[in-house]
Amino acid sequence: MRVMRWLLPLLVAVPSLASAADKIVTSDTVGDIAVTIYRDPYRDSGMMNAGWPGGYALITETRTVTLPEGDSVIRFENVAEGLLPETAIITGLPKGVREKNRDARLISPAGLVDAYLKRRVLIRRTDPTTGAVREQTAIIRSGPNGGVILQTEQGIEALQCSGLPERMIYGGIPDDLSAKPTLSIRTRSDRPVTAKIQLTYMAQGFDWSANYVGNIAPQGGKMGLFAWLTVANGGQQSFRDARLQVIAGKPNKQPNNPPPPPPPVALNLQCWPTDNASTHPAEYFTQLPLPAGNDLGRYNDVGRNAPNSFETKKQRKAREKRERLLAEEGGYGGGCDDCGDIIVTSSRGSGRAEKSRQLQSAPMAVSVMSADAMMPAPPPPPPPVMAENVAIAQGAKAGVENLGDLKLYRVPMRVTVAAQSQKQVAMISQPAASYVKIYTMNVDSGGPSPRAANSVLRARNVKDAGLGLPLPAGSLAVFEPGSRRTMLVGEYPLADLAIGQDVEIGMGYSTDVNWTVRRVDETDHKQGWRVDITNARDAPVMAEVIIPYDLEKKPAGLERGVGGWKLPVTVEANGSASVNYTLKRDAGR
Amino acid sequence: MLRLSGFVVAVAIATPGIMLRPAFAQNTQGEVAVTIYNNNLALVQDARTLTVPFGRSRQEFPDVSAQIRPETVTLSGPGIGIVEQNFDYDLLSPDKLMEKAVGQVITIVRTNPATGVETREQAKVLAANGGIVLQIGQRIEVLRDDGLPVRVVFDKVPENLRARPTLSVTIDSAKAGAVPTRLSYLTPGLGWTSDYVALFDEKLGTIDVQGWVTLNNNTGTTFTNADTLLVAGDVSGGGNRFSYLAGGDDATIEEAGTESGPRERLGNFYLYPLAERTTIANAQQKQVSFLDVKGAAARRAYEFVNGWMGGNDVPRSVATAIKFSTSKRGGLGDQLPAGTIRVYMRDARGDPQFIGENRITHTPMGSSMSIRTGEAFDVKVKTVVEERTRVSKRRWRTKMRYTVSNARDAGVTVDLAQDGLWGDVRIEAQSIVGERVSADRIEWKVPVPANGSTDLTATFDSRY
Repeated sequence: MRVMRWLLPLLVAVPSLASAADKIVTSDTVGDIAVTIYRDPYRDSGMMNAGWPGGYALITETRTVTLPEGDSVIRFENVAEGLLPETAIITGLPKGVREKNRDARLISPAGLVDAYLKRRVLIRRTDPTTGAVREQTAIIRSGPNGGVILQTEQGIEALQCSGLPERMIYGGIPDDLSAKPTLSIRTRSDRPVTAKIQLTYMAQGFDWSANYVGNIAPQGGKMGLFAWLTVANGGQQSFRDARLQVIAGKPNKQPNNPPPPPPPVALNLQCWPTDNASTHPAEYFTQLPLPAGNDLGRYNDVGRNAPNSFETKKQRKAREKRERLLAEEGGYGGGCDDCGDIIVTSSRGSGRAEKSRQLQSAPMAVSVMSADAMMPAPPPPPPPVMAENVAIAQGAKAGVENLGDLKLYRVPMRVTVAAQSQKQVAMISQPAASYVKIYTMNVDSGGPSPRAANSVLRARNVKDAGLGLPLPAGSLAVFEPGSRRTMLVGEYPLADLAIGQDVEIGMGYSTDVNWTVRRVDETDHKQGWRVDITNARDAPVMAEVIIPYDLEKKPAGLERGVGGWKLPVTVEANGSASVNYTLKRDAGR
Repeated sequence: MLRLSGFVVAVAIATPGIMLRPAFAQNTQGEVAVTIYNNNLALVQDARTLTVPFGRSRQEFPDVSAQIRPETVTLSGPGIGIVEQNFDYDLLSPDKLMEKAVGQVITIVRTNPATGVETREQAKVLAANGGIVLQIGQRIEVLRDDGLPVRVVFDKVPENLRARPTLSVTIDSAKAGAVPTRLSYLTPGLGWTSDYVALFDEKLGTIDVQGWVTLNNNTGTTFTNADTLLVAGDVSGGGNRFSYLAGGDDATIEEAGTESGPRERLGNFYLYPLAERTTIANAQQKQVSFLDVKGAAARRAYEFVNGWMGGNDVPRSVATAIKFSTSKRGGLGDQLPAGTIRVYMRDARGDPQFIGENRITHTPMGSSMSIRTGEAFDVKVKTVVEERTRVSKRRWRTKMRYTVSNARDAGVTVDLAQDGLWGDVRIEAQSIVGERVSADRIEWKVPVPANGSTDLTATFDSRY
């Protein structure tokens, strides 16, 4: 093969755009590794979505590199693909880092054509009948956008426009193309040296949350609180035998500057009209007919958009009218035009209550969705369901320490954070956390007909109550032993909780405790209201009426709870109780 | 036929026997100097030596930025005058090649699908409308109408069709021979920002700061061995436009500095030349160090702002800020170009851990800086509107209580601010004397003991 012989030097000479003096050192083995995972900065409470981890990680790797004398380029391989190049820190080089680069010119059909533009390649044509192979050298005159034009000894041709099988063969991979976007540094050394360097960088595609499991004691009033530290790695890179830490709290995170996108990678060959010339039907792009009129909403019915996903002015007005009518019907009925502002607040409030009801049921719905339809593999495991407190092996519980104003949880043993996986380690175990069960009723959401009260577990994060430790954000699943079996009785998202803080866990509505609110008195300056509470349980219950308005007379020791001032009352077993309060009407209009 | 001579050379290289190693490292750029501004704009100055004939000639400039703004091109050199400048973006593609071949003769090579025998014919392209109509001898036929393989070989590449958009300048030269020229133009696609790495040591009360310039090349072109200068500033700015970074509680400059540094300046811009020539590859993000300060004084502070006279029933975390100075005395001793500052702290094991980041604007030397790194886990504020009373037809009295709790084992001081005072709000009473820093805002320094809490109360007399 004459052609092959003179092509040989072409195959040996690997083209390069990098400075000729730079020697390339590839660092692909990772020594010691530490991974610190930060939560999704936009999630304050609740469970993470392991299928779409929105947090990030700080990864510190120890690598050993052997540097030649003079200038060299160290390319880092096997780093997390979510690497944010501007965050990379490299220490331990004898002469420091001259520059850091992240290159995105990729080895791809189009990338090769681009690199070989005006340079020689080999064209290999195979006769489909005889199998005979013909080769010839060619120079790429144009490409890769819109086709490849080749120049051969015979003239100018376009690649793959003849109908014959033909392909280009390149002499080598240019040095400045890489398989993946690559982080590299330029450095210098006086003599050949083996250095132990540390590479620290941030990468996206990680997340963690605390998953609390509360087991209510049979006699009530206390629960065993246990928490898993759940971490997720959504990337393709595994971290073997890593030291693992997670950070609770809220460090600021700015949106990342997107690095330059890689140039196009697919080779899109176009030809002159050929085999679909005159006897074959040509394919034309025909524009879809646009709906008549100026109703933009109808444009949405074309294509994939769901109907009504776009609201026109007309539709919005109609909806607002509908909602207004609905709100008026749901209000007090018998009008009192003068006392407008409070009534309006109340009726609007019923809408708000509806919203809060939806919000409270939301975590459940999310977890159900994530369990089946929404997530592709791997499905995130459901929150751990346990009847008993889990026994944790000695020394396998993550410890907490302060890191500035954040909390750092350190997993005590080395673990492997595998690609596309979720891992759980014990982090908190408090066998007897005290709580009180309270029924709350926010007068903002009430009316003259009975409504079910909100059932709330309230606890204070102090030592005397069996807690007194920082509780990082996550979700809580509460289990209660019943006569047949232990059952899930509630699920609730939790935000970061400092020592000494109060926490309220909504457990849904209780149909046994009902309440009504009625206006009983009104003057120009004040309004008298009464709340009646009924209790169908065979034990007394603690109830709290929440007043979001300014009270005319504040009882001594009045406290502000979530949503308003708290008026506590005990309702006897199978009994009822009433609370009267007076609101200021300072409006004076 | 100036262009064709290059073509002949290319064919000669491709001929067996005079094979040379492919020289990928070479491109036609000369000594390149790149000046990069913050706002995605760069000035490229390319010193090339051209070999020109006497009189008028057309010079092509490949390897200029693919995003070149051709209207900004200037070419200068001794003894040469510019006749015209062209920027051609008619790109060489198979269909363009065929379109331009209409009326010309091409070679077609048919391959017999049964035997593999090739037959060559000369054909004239009559039209290229939806299909290629050829005249072969006296026959008229459509190219590959039968679907059988046919190679089409053209003699040459037509004029004005290029692989890349190409700049060409027609010049009038006073003498023949080598002329040093300087080509300069503006291009978008190159921009830069800064990234700072700050390691905060709370025990020592110091901060180590490293600054890196981060530049991005999106132009589609590699600038080889370029002398690079970065300009801190926005050339199209001015006019006191509203800036997202400029105000409010995200501001990082507490007090703007009044010191001048040794850095090179031009007009209102600071210049950051890179120490060495460097190759800025296409689709590359490059970082080069420009600042390395160790042991500047720094401290931690807590800040909380209540934006209006409202309360929050669930305690909210206060912001943690790291405060330091860019002054020559006890500070970083440099002005800081805009960018992102990432703050790290060592954990109990001594490993640096990230504790938060923030953006900074261009900061003069001598400024006091406050970088909010995040929210404190253990220090929170609960704000309660205790009472609202109408005191007269026009005035209201609002009693506010701010409960600052601290779950840390050390005392802290929180800079607590009440905003939204609109100038005419009077402060009737306050349990800690605050400072009315502006008509709109009062600030208190609230000391909170370790594992304890402090109540601050204030009574406002307002118009609403």
